[in-house]
Amino acid sequence: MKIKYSLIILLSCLSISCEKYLEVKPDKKLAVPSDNLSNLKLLLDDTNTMNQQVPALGEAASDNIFIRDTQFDPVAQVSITSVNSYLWQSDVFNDKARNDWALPYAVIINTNLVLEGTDKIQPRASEQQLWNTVKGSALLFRSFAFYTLLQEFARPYNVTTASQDPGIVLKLNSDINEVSKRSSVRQCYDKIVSDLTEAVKLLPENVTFRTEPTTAAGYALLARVYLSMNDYSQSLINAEKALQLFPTLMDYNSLSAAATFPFKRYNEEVIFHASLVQDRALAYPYACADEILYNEYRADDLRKSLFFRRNGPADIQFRGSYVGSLTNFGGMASDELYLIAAECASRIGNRAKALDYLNKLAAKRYKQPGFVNFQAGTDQEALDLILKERRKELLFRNLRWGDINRLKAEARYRTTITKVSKGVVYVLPAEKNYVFLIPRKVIEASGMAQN
Amino acid sequence: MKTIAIIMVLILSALYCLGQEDIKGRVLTQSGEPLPGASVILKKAGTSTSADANGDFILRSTYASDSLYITFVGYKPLTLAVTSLRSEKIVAVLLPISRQLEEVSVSTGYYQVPAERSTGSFVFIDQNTINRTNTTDILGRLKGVTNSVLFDERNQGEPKVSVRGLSTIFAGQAPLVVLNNFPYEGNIKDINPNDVESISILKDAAAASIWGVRAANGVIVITTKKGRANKKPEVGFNSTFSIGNQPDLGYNRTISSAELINEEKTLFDKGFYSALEKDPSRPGLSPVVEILIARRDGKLSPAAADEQLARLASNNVMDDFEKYIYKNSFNQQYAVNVHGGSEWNSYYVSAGFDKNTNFTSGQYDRLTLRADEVISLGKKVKIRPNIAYSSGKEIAGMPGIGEIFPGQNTTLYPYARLADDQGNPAILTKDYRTSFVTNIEDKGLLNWQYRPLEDYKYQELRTDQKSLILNMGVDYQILSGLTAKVQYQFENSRTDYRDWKGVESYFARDLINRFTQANSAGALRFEVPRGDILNLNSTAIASHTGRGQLEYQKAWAKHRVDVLGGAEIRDVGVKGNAYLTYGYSDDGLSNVPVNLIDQFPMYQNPLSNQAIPKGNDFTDQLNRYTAWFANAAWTYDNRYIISASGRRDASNLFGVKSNQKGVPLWSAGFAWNLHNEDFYHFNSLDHLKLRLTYGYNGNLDRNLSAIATITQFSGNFNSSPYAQIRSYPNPELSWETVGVLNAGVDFGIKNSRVNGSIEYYIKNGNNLIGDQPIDPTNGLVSGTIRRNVADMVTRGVDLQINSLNIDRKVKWNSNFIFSYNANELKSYYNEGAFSAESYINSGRGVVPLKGKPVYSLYSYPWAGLNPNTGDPMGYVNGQAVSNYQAIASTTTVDNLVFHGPALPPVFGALGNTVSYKGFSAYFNLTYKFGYYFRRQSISYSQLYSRGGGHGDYSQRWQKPGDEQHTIVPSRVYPAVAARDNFYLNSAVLVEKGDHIRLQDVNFSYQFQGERVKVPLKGMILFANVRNPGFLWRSNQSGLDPDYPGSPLTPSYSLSFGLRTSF
Repeated sequence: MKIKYSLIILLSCLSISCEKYLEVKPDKKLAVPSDNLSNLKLLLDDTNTMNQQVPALGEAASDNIFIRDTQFDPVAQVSITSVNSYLWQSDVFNDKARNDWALPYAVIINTNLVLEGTDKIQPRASEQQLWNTVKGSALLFRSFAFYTLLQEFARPYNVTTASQDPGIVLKLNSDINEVSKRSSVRQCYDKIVSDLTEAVKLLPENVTFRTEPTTAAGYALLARVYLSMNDYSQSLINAEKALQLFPTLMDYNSLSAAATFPFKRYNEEVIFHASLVQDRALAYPYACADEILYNEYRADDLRKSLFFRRNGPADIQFRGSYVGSLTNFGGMASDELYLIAAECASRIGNRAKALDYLNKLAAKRYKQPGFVNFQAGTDQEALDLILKERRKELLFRNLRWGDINRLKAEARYRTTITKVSKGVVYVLPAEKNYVFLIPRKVIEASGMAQN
Repeated sequence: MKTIAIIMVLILSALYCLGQEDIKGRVLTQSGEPLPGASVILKKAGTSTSADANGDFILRSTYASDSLYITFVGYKPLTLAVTSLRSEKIVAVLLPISRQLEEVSVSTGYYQVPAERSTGSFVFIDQNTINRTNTTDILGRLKGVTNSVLFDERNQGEPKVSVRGLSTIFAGQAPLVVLNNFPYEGNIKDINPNDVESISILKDAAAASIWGVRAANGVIVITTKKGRANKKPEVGFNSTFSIGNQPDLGYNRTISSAELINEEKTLFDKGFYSALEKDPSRPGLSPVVEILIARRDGKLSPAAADEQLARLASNNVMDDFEKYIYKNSFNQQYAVNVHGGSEWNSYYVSAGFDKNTNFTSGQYDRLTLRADEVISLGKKVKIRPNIAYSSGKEIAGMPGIGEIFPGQNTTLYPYARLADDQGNPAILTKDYRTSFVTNIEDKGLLNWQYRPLEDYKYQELRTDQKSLILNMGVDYQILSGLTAKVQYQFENSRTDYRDWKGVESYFARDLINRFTQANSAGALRFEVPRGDILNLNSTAIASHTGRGQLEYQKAWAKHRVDVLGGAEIRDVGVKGNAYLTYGYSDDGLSNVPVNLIDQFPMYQNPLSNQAIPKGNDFTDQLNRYTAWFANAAWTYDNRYIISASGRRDASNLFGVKSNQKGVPLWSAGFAWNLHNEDFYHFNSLDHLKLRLTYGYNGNLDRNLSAIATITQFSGNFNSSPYAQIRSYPNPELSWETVGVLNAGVDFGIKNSRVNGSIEYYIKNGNNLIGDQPIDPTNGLVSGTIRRNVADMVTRGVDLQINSLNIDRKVKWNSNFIFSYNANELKSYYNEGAFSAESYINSGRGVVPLKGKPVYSLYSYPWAGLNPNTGDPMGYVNGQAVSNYQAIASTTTVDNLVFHGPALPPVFGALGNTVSYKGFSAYFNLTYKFGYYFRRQSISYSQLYSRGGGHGDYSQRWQKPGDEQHTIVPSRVYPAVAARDNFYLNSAVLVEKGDHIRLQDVNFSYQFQGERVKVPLKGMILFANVRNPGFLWRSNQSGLDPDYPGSPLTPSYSLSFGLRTSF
């Protein structure tokens, strides 16, 4: 009988210790993100998701590249979305799950998990700095993703219609069951501005790797966002704040055109490193840089040889990426800030300041000695010069499509894009507001309005 | 034996008398072996006992005359009249149940229950059945011999075994394998079939719910051989040789050499290759394209080019595969065992050795050792230690079809040669242009050419598998009928994977060359050192399981109660290390560190920067389980049986609340032995039992969690650690439960000359975990999420009929098995929200549609080929059109063609055995009906981009009128992916899978003891043909519906062997 009782005792002991026994983590690689700040930071350090998948098909739709007829079919074989974006056709983003709509939302869910985590965690004094960094970074990453989405899937910001124009989905939580709804363009931009305004107060000035956001990156993005909203004075203020923290420019005179890639990753101008989704359709030799554009560079323009390699007639390869490889740069760099500051200064009538910013940049871009500063007799002339330089400086950075759309409002700077493919002429009239269609799957799942 | 006695009683004179009331006796078999455990009931007195290890029993009688009722599994019950006045020792000889109704005792892993006393649904597979075929692994021997078990072979090389169809969609579909009472964590290949005594398959809730959450997919209980007490040592030996005929290399028809060369010529003229020619990564171009380039550039005269092309057109790479690579497989199997026992112990010791060589000369060796003992310490304590060890070694052979290919994403062109005319290994264009790699050694690099027939010699892929199981059980009989059992098992299995790529292998040379850095002066630096590359990956699984249970048995008057209850605790740890080492040298074991952080420009393409591949990884996982369980059965008068069981499982699931960590499951059952009723007088139907059970099994995907979780990785863009989301927040996560209703009838006719069972079951699966399409806006790029999405109902019938058709000198037995199993989704979250396209797949993906089988085949309706263009046509608003985008966007689910299930709802087998004296012949036909598969065909986009395609190309539409006799669309350039997609997913390519196959033929001859001069107790020689071929198949394409997309299909194999004992 003793055994019987001891068995019963043994079994009841088992049940008591059971709960603890089952608390063990089944896999050491597993973690709950909100358990601590370093877990949250690890999510933001997923560079592949956060920094290296910036949508790029705005590049295909704009006027930096052309695809030769012989190359067209091989590209179409690989990606129908690429050639359809190139020719502004309607069937885009339905062939692959990894598309320009889905990839930024993968960044966004990470940031939403992180923001929900920072809300839960009451930081100790020693953790406050990390808490600030994590929260500020998440806000910046999310704003960057929202902004990128807006460039492809929403009409450009127009102060009179922004409250009605459908924007993108402002996904602000990690609830995967939520039915997606589009906010207005105004709501989207307002959210980005308020998030970034909060972020710059939290972000650190210095980071270990340029894939991590800094205060300068926050101001730089604000400058870019305000520019898209045509709020030139705010844009200028933020560009200057960023430049105060990060004024460095590389002198292209000291770079060698003999190198395969003249620019290194994390070079002195990179404020925030991000790269565009690699799309075969956008890569040489399937797509070549536009020859008309190439011919616009003056002979003493160092960018002509550093950005391009001319392999033959109408066979120009772009190699000026700040990633330092075939991958195109999609982050933020100081050269853009000089151009934003110049443009905004000129638009608000401060021509001297505008030319100063322009010439600071140009001095590092043209052959020295010999470069003569740009001069302008009128504000208009100054703006002409600045936008021309902008066109020649910010290439293959996912900025051109936004610029084309932003400048459509001004007859003087409108671009009508013409492409010829297999004898057919395709024209994107300057007046037409072209927006990419949202993937069919998203429309089916959410019932939201298509563009 | 001359006299066939049904009951024989030998009354021996008593030597002395122990007392008036005591009735002493012994229960024996015909051959005089004791039957320990036989149940003995004194009917009037209502007392009962069971025979001890020697078959002895003692009962106290209160009546002057009474009758003894003695039963034992597999034997006919015996009723004896006894008088206590005559207290002689009674010897009761039980005769085996005649004919084929093998009254068996099935094991659930927790308890053994005689079939007669069970309410649940079991299949029992005895040793004879297991020995009918000769596979190296044990599960293969279940093929075609039992109802309800289906082998889904579509997953090449790794068949999925299911019991009674699907119970779950994603949460692990494999049935639980139980080896000697404990769940088996190791590799199923480590179990030697020669050691297996029997297999029980637990099918319904009453049978399986004792296994709780792991039982939903059915349970396969494997019991190994044991020794018997009081038996002289006996040595058993067997040996088998199997030869597998090399597979038919032409099974998967591909475009012919001449056709492909013509295609490449046409594409070349259209400039298709001009971008590739310029591509800075210098991708390899096929020999045909190289010839065409040379001709264009004037380096080759048109005549010479045509001559070279004509020579290539006459090649067929399959001839080379057949000549140089594929051979017959050859398997050898040897097994020896010794078993026996004394009064106080019994033992079984065995050793087995297998040596297999596959079709491409890959090696697999296995050694298994097993020792099993039962020691009785007095009458109350039994100790049951056993130990099993196995060691397997697998070395990959030569590369087969599909393993030799030119570059990434290319198909091996049919005109390739593996060897030149002299039989020397030939060069195959691999990743780079021929002109680039030729003579690259002159620049100081390693040779960059690939010779597939030689390359395998410079590398070795080896897997070593070792497993050890230590098991100890102690039984203590506390009181009569009350036994405590404690069992503990330690299982350790370790897999060492060693992938060695010698410096002479293409893989190593390519990596070393790619990372070679040349400065402007031409000096070279090797970032990947010139040495071997070694990848080691070890995984060790260690599990500890402890179980304590109390069992109580009591039989009184007409009642019998069997109760058990207990607890189990289990801990399974998985630890793994993986290392990737460069510059390794097998001599001296040295290695060289490399820079894994920086990116380097590739030698062949300085535009591309890459980092040296990293390969270090560590795994540390620990899964813990606890369970409480109880099981009870009450038998009344051998007529009524009521059973019930319950179990609560819990586990250390991550990211769920503690109350979600466990789930309680239960079952209840009732059985009625109608033939034991007094009113039952159907003498021809002498065995009739009705069974009814209901209960729940469960399942859970351990990878899911209710809250967001992350997994950590090393090495982001900055070579720092990072994390990714592993599971998305899912507060509604719950356990899958499967309610199973089972109704069955067991019957025996004419003294069980014909016997069998028929069962009907309904399985209601609730909260099943599946992939649900989800809006990518919520952050899931894939657009699907796995969670509780579906309810499913499965209805089925299992039938088994065994008959002895002729019972003279010639005996003829038949076994017929039939299974019907059809599932349909009752609900699927968000079903129908998505385009019709997402319901079309190859039959291997889940089709989330209410009222339809989980694996269903849907297609676009087919409107034929356009008679003018040869374009495939579908329907838009009822009109036959070739606008594929419109077809894709307007077709709704209702417009799709529903063919039917992709897995056979009807399957089974008919086995016939004819024997005459020692000779026996066995034929087993298997059949599958009612299912569909999608066959492959030509995709022009694949043809152009991959440089290869399906042989249907030659039947393509070429001129008006062809549409009368072909369904293959015309060739178009450029290819339209949507057009290919429509055709490949149209109804015209779906075929019925129905077939009847001759699965096994077996001949054996058993030498009768008296004729053998050597001191053998018996010897059986046998020959076996496995899978000789189809008797009938529905499809006209010559395809094996079980392997619709495979490059190869298994051929037949022949085995010869002998089994003997002395």
